[in-house]
Amino acid sequence: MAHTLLQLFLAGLAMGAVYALVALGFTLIWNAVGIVNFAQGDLVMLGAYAVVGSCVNAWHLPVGLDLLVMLGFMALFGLAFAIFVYTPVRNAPQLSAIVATLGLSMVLENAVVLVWGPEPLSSAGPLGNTTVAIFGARIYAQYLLILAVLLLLMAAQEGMFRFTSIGRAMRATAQDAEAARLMGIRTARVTALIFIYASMLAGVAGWLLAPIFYVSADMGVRVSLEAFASCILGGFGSIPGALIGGLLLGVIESCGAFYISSEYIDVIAFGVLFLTLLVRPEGIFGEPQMERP
Amino acid sequence: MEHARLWGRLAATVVLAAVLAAALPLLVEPYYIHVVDVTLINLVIAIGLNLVLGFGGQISFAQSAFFGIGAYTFGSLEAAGWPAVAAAPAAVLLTSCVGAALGWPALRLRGHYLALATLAFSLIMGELMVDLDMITGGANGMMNIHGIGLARDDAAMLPILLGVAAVGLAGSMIFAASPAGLRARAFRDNAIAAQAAGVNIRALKIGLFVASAAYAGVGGVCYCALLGYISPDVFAWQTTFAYLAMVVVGGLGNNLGPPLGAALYTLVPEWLRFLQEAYFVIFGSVVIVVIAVVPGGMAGLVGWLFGRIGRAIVHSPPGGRPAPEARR
Repeated sequence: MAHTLLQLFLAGLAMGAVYALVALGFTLIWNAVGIVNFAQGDLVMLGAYAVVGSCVNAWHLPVGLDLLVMLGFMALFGLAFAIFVYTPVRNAPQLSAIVATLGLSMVLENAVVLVWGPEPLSSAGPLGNTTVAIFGARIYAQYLLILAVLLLLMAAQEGMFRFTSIGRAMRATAQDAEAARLMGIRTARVTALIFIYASMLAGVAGWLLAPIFYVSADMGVRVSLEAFASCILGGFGSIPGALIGGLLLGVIESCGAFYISSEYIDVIAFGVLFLTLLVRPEGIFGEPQMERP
Repeated sequence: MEHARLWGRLAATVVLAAVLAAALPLLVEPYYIHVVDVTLINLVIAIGLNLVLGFGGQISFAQSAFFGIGAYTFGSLEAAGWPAVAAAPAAVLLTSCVGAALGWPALRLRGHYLALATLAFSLIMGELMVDLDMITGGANGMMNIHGIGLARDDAAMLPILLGVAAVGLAGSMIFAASPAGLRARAFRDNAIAAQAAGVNIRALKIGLFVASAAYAGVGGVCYCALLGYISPDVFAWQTTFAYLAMVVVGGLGNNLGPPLGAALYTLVPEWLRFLQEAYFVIFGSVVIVVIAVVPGGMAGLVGWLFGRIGRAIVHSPPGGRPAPEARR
């Protein structure tokens, strides 16, 4: 009994960690430029395709190198995103900006089919089906890898935001772009950097998810939705909120699927989201409803 | 003046629908008649979305759910022995009630909060259509819906759907020209100012949701009547994006928008079938370009072009006139 609960809890945390990574990139973009990026999950899909479709299946790159190549690709893509999608619509009303990211999502979902073919790809990943026993509960090593990567990334990110000038410039731009520009920060470049960083985070999430899921064109939208739900739960625009919200959602899903019904899992997860929006739209950590001016 | 223009537009809509009903069966192959039928259903649903999104400025992702609720209600009532004349209005009525039931709690939410709440609603409804298999037939959907006895008879459905779409478009035109339409645009452009000027924004917002749901409900009934079967994947939340893209590319808050958007999204891919996925890569890019370059959408572009041609014929002005301020 306790083993089952622990197993469900860890599996939920691992899925939640992936949601949190995506939610984090999403929150960074929201804070920096006030755009709700509906394509964030498709960036995860792109990262997964780049790793599985090209780095592993086509080029047979060794573990580690595949991650680096994918991160380089995602960084380039993030830059292209900032230049070709964000910059042209930055002054458009929020609705239009949302639809523009939906347009990007449509482009990506169909482009990956053109590039990597319509068949879903599968990848065993470096760890395969290895399981580890923790207090009698068996858990996939991949899940532990996911949790470890999340912790490591969060520590690195905290360090970057606190102690490096580029991290401080990112935070300043996110808090008040106008004031940051007056202080001599090149906000356009910093904004591009935020897009690059958010894309790379999504790429890491894709790399982590690929061994668990089939890599397919529609995996992205699902991940997007879970990330939104995490943000709403934790509080929109809050970085700790995105983390806690993601982990919470993962655990709610895995326990709900086991104890209530696996068929109704989405209904439960998004019912929670819907109720949160109606009862407490600011979530756990958030401020009252924010809107792009 | 304004009334004369409205009457002109209404007359043009009716004439165009009549001409299409008479000419299309002679001009195009039977398969394309079917595509036109589907386009018309999409058009009706897009008009509904344009009311809440284009005129009211409220981001709603609930359109696919309303579409599905209309279709499933109609299918279930028919299966329970209701005649189509009773089942169709009942389905539209129920869908409208769901619209009100969603619009009321959504009063508190704005912007992307509203977008995500309605998206969650669509997702839950889409899942329930699969999970509640006692009522909905699960993943298999519903087969052999009698409808109005014209299922799969594309040629016979064409004039009916043209009529429905024309009435729907006329409704939207009358709304746009009416005081209610003016209030909706005031609310879209500045909610606080509109409220200060005496607009009941609560009633307005719920009303817009009810109207958009009613149009989607009509679309659902028409879809049942045209195909004779329904399956849940048609009403999955992803389809909401399709309607959103239609309305935005067509032109938000412009009555020319939904017809242009529905045609570009449904009709044109049939002719460009050889492009396959590449078409939607292009379409997605067009969405971004439209937002960045012509925020008024295709309708804004067409209006601007016709304005230019008209002026050039009547009196050629010295130098070009810049494009009019794009409307959101």
